[in-house]
Amino acid sequence: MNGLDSTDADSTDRRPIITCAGELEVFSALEDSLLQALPQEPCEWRRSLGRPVRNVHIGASFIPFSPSGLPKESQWDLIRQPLFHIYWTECTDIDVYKTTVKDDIESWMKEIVTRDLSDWLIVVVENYDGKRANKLLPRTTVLDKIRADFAPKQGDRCISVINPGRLETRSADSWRGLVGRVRHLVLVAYAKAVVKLEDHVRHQREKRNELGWNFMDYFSLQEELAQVLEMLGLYDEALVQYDELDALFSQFVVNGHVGELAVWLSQFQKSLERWHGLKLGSGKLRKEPSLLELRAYLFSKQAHMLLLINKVWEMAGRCLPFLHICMKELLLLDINTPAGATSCWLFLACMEVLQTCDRYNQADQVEAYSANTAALWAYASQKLRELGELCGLMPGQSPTSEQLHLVVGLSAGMGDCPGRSGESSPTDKLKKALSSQEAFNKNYLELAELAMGTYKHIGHLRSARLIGLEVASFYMLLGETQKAAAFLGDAFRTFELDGWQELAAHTQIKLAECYRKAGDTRKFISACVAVSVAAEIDNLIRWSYFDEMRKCLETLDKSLVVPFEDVIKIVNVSVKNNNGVVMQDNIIEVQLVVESNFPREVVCTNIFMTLEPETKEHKKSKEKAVNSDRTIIVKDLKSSELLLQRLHMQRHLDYKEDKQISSASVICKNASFKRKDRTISPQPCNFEACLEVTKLPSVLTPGSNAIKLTKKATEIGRYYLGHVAINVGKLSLLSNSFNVKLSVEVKREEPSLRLDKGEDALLFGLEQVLQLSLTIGSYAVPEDTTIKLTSSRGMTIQHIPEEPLLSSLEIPIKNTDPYNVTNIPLRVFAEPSSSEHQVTLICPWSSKPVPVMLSFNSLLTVSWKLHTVQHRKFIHITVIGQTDQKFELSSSRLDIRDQVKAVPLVVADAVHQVIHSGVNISYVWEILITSSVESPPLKAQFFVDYSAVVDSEDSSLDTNTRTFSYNFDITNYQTLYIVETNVEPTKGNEFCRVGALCNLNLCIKPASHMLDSADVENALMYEVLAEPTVWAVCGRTAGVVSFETDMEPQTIVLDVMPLNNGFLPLPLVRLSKYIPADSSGSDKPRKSTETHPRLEPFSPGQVYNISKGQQVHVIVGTITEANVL
Amino acid sequence: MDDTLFEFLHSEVVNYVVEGNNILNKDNKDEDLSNLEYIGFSVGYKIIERLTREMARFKDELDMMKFVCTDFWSAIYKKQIDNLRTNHQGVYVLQDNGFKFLTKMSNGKQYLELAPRYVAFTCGIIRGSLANLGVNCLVTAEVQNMPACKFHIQVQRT
Amino acid sequence: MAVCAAIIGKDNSPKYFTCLNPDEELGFQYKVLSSLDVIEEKLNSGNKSVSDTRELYLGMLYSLEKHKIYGYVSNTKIKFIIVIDSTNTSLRDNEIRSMFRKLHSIYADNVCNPFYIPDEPITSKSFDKSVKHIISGI
Repeated sequence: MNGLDSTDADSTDRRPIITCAGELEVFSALEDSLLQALPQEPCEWRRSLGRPVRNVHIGASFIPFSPSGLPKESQWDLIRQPLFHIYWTECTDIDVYKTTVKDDIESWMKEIVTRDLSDWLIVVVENYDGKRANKLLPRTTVLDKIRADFAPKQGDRCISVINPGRLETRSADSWRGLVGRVRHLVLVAYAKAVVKLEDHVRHQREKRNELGWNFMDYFSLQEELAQVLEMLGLYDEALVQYDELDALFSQFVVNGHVGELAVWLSQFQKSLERWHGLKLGSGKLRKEPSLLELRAYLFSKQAHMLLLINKVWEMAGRCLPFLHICMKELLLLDINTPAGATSCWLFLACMEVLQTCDRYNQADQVEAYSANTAALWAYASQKLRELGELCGLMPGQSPTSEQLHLVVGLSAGMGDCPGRSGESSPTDKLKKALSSQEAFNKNYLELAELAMGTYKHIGHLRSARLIGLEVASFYMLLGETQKAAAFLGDAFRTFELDGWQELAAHTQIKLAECYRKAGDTRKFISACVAVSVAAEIDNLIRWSYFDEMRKCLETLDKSLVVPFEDVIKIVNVSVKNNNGVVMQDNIIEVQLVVESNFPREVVCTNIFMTLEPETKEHKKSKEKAVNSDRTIIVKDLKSSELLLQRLHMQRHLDYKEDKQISSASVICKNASFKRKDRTISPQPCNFEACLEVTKLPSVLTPGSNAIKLTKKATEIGRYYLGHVAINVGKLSLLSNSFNVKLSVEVKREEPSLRLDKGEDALLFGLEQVLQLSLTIGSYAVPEDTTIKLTSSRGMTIQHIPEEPLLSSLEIPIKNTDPYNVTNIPLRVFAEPSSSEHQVTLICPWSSKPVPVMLSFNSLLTVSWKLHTVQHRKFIHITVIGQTDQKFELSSSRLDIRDQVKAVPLVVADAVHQVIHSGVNISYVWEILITSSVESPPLKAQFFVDYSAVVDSEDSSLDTNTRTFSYNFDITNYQTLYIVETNVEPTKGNEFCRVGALCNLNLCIKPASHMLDSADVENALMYEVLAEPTVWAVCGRTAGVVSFETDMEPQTIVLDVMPLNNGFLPLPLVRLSKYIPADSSGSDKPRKSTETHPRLEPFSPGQVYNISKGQQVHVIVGTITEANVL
Repeated sequence: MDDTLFEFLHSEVVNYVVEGNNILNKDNKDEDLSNLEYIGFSVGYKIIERLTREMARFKDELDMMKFVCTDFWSAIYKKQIDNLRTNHQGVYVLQDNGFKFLTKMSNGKQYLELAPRYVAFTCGIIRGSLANLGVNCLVTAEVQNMPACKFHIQVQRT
Repeated sequence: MAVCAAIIGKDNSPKYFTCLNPDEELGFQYKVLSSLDVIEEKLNSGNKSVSDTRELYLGMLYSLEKHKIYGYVSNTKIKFIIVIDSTNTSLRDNEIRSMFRKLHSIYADNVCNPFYIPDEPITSKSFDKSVKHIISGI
């Protein structure tokens, strides 16, 4: 019979035990089929208390019935007891039944019933054959009989089955019926038993605080329940049982810690003697387990259930908390553990779980797997390292004999645990690892790498870095500084990135030690710098690294560049020059305020700040980045946090077509959400042009330092402040390029040349002195520089006294020093009557000639006038002084060409006449012409000599005597008509009276030479221009007279009336040339279109009024004699 | 009572900032509201810490917007946003049909051009709050018919 | 009673850190730092189990032999972390949760301190006092 003796088999093989009685050979024929068929289909398990319906697969193992093997009251090991009993019979004959079978069943039944068992079944196996099948069925069958005898109310406890060996359809149905019935009834049996057991467990648990209660007893009781559930395939419910046990135990320990320790717990307080590795799956609990053994057993059970329901990763996830709880409980229960024992145990447990996980590992679950195993790898490596340290296996150590003993002891405590087929078990591994330093190193590093790798895989970079720190220290011990540095560097960067400055600083210390060991002085110095400036580090440590840095610096042969970063903080940079403008050859001055984080003073051998010439990029980014101020402060240097950005918000109004406002909005103008790119690493920078500190060495004290940087501006242009470099011996601290650009502009002042006209107006015809002033600019001009002056025509210049004046000059510059001013007196002379001139200045520093406009005035002005007496003609010349300067005039003369003689009327030049502004001098000549002959137009030229009158002081004045000339033309000057008028009382009257008509007699006499003249107009118009308040002209006031035929004088009489009395001036008569309207055929075509007659005036002197200035005496009312003056 | 105080204080802040602007810049057409907005931003950045203290964690961006529309708005303006719309691509439009700072003004067009002054602070509050919740966005506002106001939130995905 | 409490900013850098025993601070810094890995994982796995992660209190982040580390993340991504001695058996989950709430509450108050610039380390003495009061569990 299969499995009948396998009571001690592995729990996975456990199946409900069913006893068989009756005709066992009948059953034997069916056993195999039944064993196979039972678990094939699930059976529904409906339970009370609202618990969910579960589908359960029922297996079975059969044992022969024996009364002694039947369960007794208060025996709870359900899985080792038969809970179901079957009686088999083949009997179909009622008589046979009555004689033998019935008795047999009765005795079987008695055994069962007396034990209060109700789970049984009687099976009647029928062996039909073809013949018998056709037979009529007996009236009553054996089955009916059995039912009637044994189960009158429980018909389902008796069943008949057709032997399935016959392969008939009917037999298959009956077979299914049997299997179903067995399943169902077995389940019922177990359900009953479980309920009973559960009640019992609950009952026992309630007694847990009673004296004498023992956890281990309770444990085995509840585990029984778990095992039943497991047997039924309800692994999750079995797990719950174990979890309850777990929690209960934990609670006892906690309570024991806080309050009174339960008595039974004291049995766990024995010193730890064994630390066998955790073994998942099989395994039995020792009789008197230690805490670790109990815990390990419990966990292995939980793990087993989890594995059965395929929750491998949960199993792995539970492992670490389980291990932690064990450690906690060892502590709480104050259990004495040999050194290293727990480490061994923990290591073994981790490895066992990890190995198990590895077996269940599936490619698609790596993520979930890693999430739970990473920490286990880490824990295992940590524990191994603890052991290594304890046993003197760490690199650089050699185990003492005590430590060797310790290893032996620990190995013994682990026991022996062979691995599965060929695989080395965790125990084997640990023993090997502890056997030699090499093996230990290899194992430790392997584990740590696995832990890091797994952490990285699940994105727990920080955890990986922390292990990295451990590994680094291990490598340090191994002397593999390069590897150590790599791990430390990674950790450092992670800490920096997360902003954990203190951790970063401590890592720097480790890095420093690593580089020291490696003998990498340069990196060591860098690390020392970093440590010495870390505020998070203790001052003593900072000082010591600072001192080491200084010491090491002396040994350097090449300079070492270290970025500013946390070492030096730039607080403020400002250009001190006005508006950031510097004149060439002057000093650019920049003030730099930095905060030194060094713990002590540093002596700077040099401090530079680069000047970058303006490039295209600068110009492009000018608007955005260039600060118009001359200062940048910390705030500007920090890259602004994007999230906290200030936005430019403004109002925006929208209008409708009718200009009415339609909506008002708040909008954003500069929504630039792109991160400004930061320049992290210092770019290579050009230190050819840079500002420097003049006073060296300069000392940087901890904290704020103001540094003045200067440089002589040599090249003009715009420069931007770039980087700052602070050199401390061979250590060169270099800043980033400022992200806000400050600029300095170097300019130069060009030399300038000016020609000053002075205050007074310039005069032509006189040599005068102007000031030519030359100012050298911000730079010296070459020694042999000359400036060139060119004057316009009619003007001459000279800068050397006594030298003749020239039209162009070259003047060498004598003093070429910056800002020197040279004044050169420039003599200028403009020819008379030329008023507008220019002097062109040509300087070598300017490509463009500079014209200077000069305007000259005359020192004298001259006017002339014609005077006439009858036919005689006089020229009157008036010379008017125009200047404050006095001039002496002499030798005046009038030249008239055309052989007309001029005779001066005044005795000229007897004395020198002095003229100046406000003084007029007149000269008169008579020109001698013949009145009867027509005189030609004359060209006259007036000359007068002048020389400046020297005052006592002004010696520079030009006193040469020069001749002033004045040309003019005399035309139409000959007298053509002589007009004579008088006023007489009308006939019969003696006097002219007010209000009485008088006669105005007008006589016009043409000159005799008129006859020869063809050109003379011979029609004249006269007009009486009487003063309206004095005279009233009655009748005609004007008329035309003609002298076409003869030259006889013509007399016209007009009527006028005096309006006032006294001596009245005669009414004036004007003569004009009269040009008739119809002068067609005239030789002047432009007049042909004239439709009106015109008047043309005569030139002065052509008409001589003989009566001009005469008066007539007019009396009032009474008659008086006319008195004509 | 604290409502009234808040309103008074807000209008004084507006006056103060706008006056300061006018001294600096006479050109009033595109009145600069940056300062008002930034004041709001700072307030929003801080107040959100307090307002979300007892809140469950936000599921997503929309969840945050809903919070802004309801609890947040109620806490500040004693009413909820009347309408929330989104294109599900980072643009949200919050409409308040009776925006607190505009309700005390005439409803006509008379003060419409001054309305932006009274909504800029709130733009900032929204932006600040969302910024602290980790949403980088741009908040603008539009007033067409007083006292209704539409706030546009444009989430910047970087 | 907690042995250590920390407030970590949005950028993952520590804004406030306190320990019962100042000598252990560095060690706790490492522990708190690595707990950020778990926090990130929990926050990022967001949608998987909504009900779980919507609570600001994240529960235990991970345990060590001697300590248990608990986390709480505000909506503004400020992380609060409390470290408990694992032998401390008297502290219940609810008590830890309420400790976090109190911490968050005084943090929110501190943000309203006009001299506090958001996202800067917290240096206020009264804040420090309040935190110590809270974690000492009195």
